[in-house]
Amino acid sequence: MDNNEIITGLALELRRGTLVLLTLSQLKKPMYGYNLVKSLEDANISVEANTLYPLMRRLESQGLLSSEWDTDGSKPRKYYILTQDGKKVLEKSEKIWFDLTNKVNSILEADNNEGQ
Amino acid sequence: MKDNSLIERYVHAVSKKLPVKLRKDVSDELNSIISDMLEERCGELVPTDKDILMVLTTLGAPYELANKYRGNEQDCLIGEPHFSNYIWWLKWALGITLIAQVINHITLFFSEPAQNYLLFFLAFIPEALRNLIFAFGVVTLIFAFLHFKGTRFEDELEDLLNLPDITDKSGSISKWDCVWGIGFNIAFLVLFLGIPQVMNIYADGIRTPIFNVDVLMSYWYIIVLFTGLGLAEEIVGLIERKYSIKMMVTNIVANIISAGLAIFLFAGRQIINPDAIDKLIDILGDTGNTAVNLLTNAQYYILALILLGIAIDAFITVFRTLRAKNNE
Repeated sequence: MDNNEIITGLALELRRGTLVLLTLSQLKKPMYGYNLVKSLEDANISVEANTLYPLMRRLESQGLLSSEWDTDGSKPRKYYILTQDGKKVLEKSEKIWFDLTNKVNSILEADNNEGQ
Repeated sequence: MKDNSLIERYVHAVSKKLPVKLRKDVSDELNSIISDMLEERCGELVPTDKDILMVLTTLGAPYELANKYRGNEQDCLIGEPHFSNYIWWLKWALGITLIAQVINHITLFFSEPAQNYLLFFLAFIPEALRNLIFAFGVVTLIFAFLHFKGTRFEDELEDLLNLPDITDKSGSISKWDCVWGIGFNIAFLVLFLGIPQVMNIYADGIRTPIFNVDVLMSYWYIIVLFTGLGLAEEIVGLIERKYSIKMMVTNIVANIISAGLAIFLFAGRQIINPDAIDKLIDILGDTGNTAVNLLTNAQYYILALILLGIAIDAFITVFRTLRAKNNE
């Protein structure tokens, strides 16, 4: 296995771990799936629709999101939004994320400084 | 010729692999996202087949997307994309094994003259069964291994271009099945009322009829009614052409009456010719009590088989009708 393959695999795992957090963070206001794909893309986070749609459905079945079809527009769309449980999970997950990234950053930065 | 659009076939291919309660919602959601992706790709222009294909390729193979929706990617021994190939190879393997077994048995028949013809032909069943089970096991093991390793034979684009038509055949009744059924019922009537003596046991230059011809003839109206019910069922199927409530009710009523008629005819009347049973016991020779018991009570075993057949037929009809209703 060459290094590029290892790096790609690692990047994929890191992104996968953050996807739930990112999805929850964007759904404080109602959004439909493709809207969310685009909004993440605008923030330079590319997520494939075939990953995001099943993920939102899973989060809905876990009670973190709720959904509703809007049939008033030019085409019917399913809008997702955070539930109360989803808000709590997001809040706690954000804390874990910030805490973890701070620690990881400080370790990585310290190592880099020592190396210079 | 594929009548449905590629999008419809794609959405159908994904949703049919999902639990029934999810299908409608996921289909709507997929149509919505495909429409959004096409709009982004083509703007005001009408999307071409190539555009549609590109969008569907981005979404991935239907079975992969369905797996993501279900959230369980390895929940079976042999799943897609291997399952269709598995069925194809299984049919060939079983067919070839059976043909080989028949050829082997025929060759054996001419090379080593049998002492007892009936036993010789009966021996075909366990041998064929053993080889068929072996062929089934080998093909299943190979495909289970390929599925476990995730080996692919075809590329994704080819899969998308060859998506099956979405015509739902699960609730339809084949015209030829009905025609075959009508033919079978007529043949049954002709055989039992016209030429029952052709069903006989031939030994020592004497033909002994299996059925008691006099009893059959005196209860001809029961046989006519029994056949009539079968014919009525096939004709309703031919008119309806799908599993409907009307079809299900006809089937259940016809089957209940048929079961009653079979019990009336077989219980208490000597339908099987006792001479034929004696002759069979003689031919089989010293084969133990089981065979003798089986033959002595043949009439009741036949009745049990008829009732089982009737019950299976009713069960299949109810199952297919409910499934067709569910898919509507």
